[in-house]
Amino acid sequence: MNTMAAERVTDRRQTPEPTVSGARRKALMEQFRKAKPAICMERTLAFTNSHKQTEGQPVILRRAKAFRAVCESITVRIFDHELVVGTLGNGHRLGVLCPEMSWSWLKEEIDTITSRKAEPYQFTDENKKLFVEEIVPYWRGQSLEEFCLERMPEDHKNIGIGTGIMDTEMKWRSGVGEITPDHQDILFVKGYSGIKNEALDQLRQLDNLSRENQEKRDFYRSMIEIAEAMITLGKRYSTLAESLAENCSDPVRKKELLTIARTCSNVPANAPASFIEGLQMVFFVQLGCLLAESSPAFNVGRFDQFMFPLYQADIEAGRLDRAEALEQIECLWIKLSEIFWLLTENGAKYYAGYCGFQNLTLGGRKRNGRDATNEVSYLALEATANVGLHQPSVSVSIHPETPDEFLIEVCRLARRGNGMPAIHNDIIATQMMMYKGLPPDQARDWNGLGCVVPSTRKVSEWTYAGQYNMAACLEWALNRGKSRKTGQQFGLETKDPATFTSFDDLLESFYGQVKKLIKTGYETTIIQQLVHQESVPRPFFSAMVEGCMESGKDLTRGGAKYNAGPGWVVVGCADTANGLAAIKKIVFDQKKTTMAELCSALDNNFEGFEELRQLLVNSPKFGNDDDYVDNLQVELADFSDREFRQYRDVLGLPFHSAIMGLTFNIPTGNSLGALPCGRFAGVPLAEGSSPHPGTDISGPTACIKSLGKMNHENQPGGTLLNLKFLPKAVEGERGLYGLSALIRAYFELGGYHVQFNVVDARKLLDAQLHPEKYGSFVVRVAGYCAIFTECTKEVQNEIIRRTEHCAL
Amino acid sequence: MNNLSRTDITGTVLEIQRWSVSDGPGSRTVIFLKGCPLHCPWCANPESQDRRVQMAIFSTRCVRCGACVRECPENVAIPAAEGAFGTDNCTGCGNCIRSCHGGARSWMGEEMTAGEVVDLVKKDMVFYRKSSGGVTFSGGEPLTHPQFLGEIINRCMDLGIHTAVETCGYFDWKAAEKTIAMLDFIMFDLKHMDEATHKRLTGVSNRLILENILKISSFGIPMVIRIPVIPGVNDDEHNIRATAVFVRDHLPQAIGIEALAYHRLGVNKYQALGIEYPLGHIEPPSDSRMAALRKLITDTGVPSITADNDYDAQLVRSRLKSTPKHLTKDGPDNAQT
Ligand code: SF4
Ligand code: SF4
Repeated sequence: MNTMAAERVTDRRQTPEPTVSGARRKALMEQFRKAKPAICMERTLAFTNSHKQTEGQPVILRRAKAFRAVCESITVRIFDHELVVGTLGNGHRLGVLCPEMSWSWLKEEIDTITSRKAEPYQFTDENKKLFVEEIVPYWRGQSLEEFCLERMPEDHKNIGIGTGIMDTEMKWRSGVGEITPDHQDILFVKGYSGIKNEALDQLRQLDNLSRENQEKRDFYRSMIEIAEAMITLGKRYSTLAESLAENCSDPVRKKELLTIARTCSNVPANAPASFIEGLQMVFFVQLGCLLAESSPAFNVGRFDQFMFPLYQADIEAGRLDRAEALEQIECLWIKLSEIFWLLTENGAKYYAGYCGFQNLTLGGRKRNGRDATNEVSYLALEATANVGLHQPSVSVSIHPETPDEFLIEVCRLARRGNGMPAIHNDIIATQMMMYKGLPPDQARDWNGLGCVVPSTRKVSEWTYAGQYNMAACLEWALNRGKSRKTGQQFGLETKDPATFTSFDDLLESFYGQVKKLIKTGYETTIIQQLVHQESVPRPFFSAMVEGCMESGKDLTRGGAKYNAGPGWVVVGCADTANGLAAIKKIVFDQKKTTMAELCSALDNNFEGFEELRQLLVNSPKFGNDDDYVDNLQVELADFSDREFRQYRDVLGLPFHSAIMGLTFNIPTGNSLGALPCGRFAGVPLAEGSSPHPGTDISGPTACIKSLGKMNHENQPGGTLLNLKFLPKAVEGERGLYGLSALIRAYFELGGYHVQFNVVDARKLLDAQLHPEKYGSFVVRVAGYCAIFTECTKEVQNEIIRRTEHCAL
Repeated sequence: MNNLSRTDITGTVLEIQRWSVSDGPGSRTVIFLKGCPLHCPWCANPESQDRRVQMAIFSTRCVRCGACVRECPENVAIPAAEGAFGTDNCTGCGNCIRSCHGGARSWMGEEMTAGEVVDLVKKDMVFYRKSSGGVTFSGGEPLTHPQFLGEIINRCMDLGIHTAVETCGYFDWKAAEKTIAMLDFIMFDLKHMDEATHKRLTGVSNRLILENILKISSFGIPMVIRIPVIPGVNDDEHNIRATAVFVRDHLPQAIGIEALAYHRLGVNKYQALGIEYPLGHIEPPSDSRMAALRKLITDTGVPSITADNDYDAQLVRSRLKSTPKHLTKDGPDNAQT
């Protein structure tokens, strides 16, 4: 592409009569709605059986061979109307179990999994029997979970498991996830045959079998297994499509099936040669990711960038028109919503709504600094609006030269009220990547990961190693290290708060608690990284990240060209800042109460202390453009950054901090007693770096100003701002311009991410009462989307509770 | 706050609302000033009518602690939960408000200096820049505070902040003239064209209003005419058409007419002030009724302004000080595209 103008191949405003009607989308959506999410055991069984046959072999090779066995044996299915095909096994909406990571949870929950409230899965009796009799006995004592727990010291377990104070479950019970395939430089260039050939070449070049080279040899052999596996999966689909075509009486569908057959005979083996082949390649890779390790955050990456050349070529050759391209994208979107990451009951409560965090990024800049928006960016937004499901998690990257036209389309989608897309500041994301250690040109090519994390296809990292509850540290500083809820001694036995004579005394105790908690977090991650290296290397993912093929090393051992240290998420930052500000104001500035009285109010959950609570509630709150408290929030975030930065992970890379966070605010809030910001015991904490719900009462601009004061750059694991509007506030073209100006202003102030929930509370309450009326009503829950009616009541209430900025 | 702004001219500010996208071009901070010469029964801001600071009572927030009763030197305060408050013996000392832990009592309105207002306005500079927005003065009737307003606008001009006013048109021309001349944008309410009806509805004749609008028009400041559409009160086709014809024939400066549907969102404010809501029986107009009235307006040859209109294009024009278009059939509506 030479000119920017040429990247708008068609003018959207002058689109001719559509060649497709949307009937296919409707039919596919109907099929989607009818299908019930289920657990498929085919992957689990094939993976296990393979391991039985490879005992004693190198771990990485065993994992690669097992993956191949899976791809060779799982059921292949093509459903009516589909243009993009593939399933995780025998069914429609499926998740798979990785017993090598953790099997215990499913064993414990086997009787409730089909009936539980949050995200029930279909699980046949036959499969249950298979699981108990065949799978569990083999993996007992051999899973990542057991290895990790065996190594964690008691102290770390006491504070870090099921407490709501610190949590690393996603890393001791699940694969790493959190990766973006390098479509641009690897998969869309050479396909899996190319990968296989490179591995063969590398093997031939190993001139001696030193210890190091032995390990490389194991690695390259694994690469070949992985490539063969993916090639086979494609061929099996091709064969199936061909035979379906043979028996198909409808000439239109027959033609489509033959196209599918052709597509799958080319990808993923080779570089995609057409738009549809590109889409199919993307989906095969997503399937591979989940079959390899059922984890969250397998990102599609910069979809508009790697798809545009194929789009342009097809359009120019007259093989495709815009409406067909849109329909094909919609087909992919629906497929991405079908596959999901299997959740424990606890996880399901908090990661609401059959969500896989498959982040897909649009817009942004190219490496040469030019705007990267193209026609596929617009098509992808349109498809997202049309399909309206929770996947992919669409992110957009906005920079000063992003065309207003694109930003307006982004706002138009955001205004539909389902929380998509996540809107990111390209400039700050780039700086975050540089802070993680990437050179500027790579940093600029960042893409969204999971909910709101900046990452890139070039980097291997644990973006979410765990989360810690900062408000707990405040509780401990005010209770000599003890939990107010359980009385357990979690923190340091700091000074009696009644003896604090200044705000600095309080800060000293508080920061002491934070330091200790962060150190525990760091140590926990090191243990887990070691276990991952030893027992669950990642051959499938090593094939799609630059550097591993060259170095002959797996991702877990630092094989990628770029590596970044682990990220830890701060939860409850605003509650802590608000609490500190309230004490500063009421106890030390105005002397309206004493530390002793405050502590007994907290002990009693404010019962009998309503007047004091009102004073606390009415003291400055983060999110109102008030430096008194905003300064504290900035200080807390900076402290978290400095503390983590001093620690190094197993590859020698610095840890980093983030203030984003899914729905962590619920369990973390649950674990705490009353807080000095006036919050009652058990109430959820603030979400990400957003203000505490209901306390930002000065309108969205004040909220944005507060957030803009933070150093987003030093939270490279992401920050999160959720703004909720009632539809009235953003109606008409004026509303769109209003939203777009808010975004531009927030980004000029240095903010990183914002997303909008544009819904009215009545609609949400109604959806809660009558889920049947709102089949696929999607609401973004803290950085990702879920179907509202499939969320638990707690999460639903949380959405409703958030401040409603309403400019009537 | 520096000493200079302490000695500033002051005015009674009811409320300052940040981020509005429907009170002028771009994103705006809206300053509501207290005091209005009209008393329209449909008013959504009844607390703005009285020039004085008033006390509002929010019964649901009352925790019945009795602090207000204890602290009131005049023995007139009663807990908010026990009913509306409106006694003449209240001296306005504010003790009850300061002592209220529930936040159930508050002053409606605050004496502020021009400097204080501008300090607040300045906070959202970045949003004005990004949206070509600015500050809008509303009320009450802002032009009944010409000096206070003039001082604020003066300072906004120094800062390059775009200024707009929402006016009912009933003010002393001589006093307000200089202030008006500094404005960048005007939103002018025309509630009824018939003098007798206007007087019956709002308590005042519309003669001064019509005189003022003609004078404003000669200043060449871009202007939007607003009609609050109150079913059964002023929404008859005759009145709407008469308004449109007047605009077409006499106000070349007007960009168009914005018909605003009556809403009842002010109801709870009446409760807080202890006033009965005068329009209890009137339903907001339907969307189709509004569409029909808007069509009537455009049929007369005057553009109809809605939330879908691009105010920003007009703002650019006002900045360039270009000659405004006369409202012919291919007037501003087409000019926008
Ligand atoms: S303002 Fe003063 S006089 Fe009036 S009710 Fe309150 S305490 Fe009593
Ligand atoms: S002081 Fe406030 S909360 Fe207490 S009784 Fe009076 S109005 Fe109610």
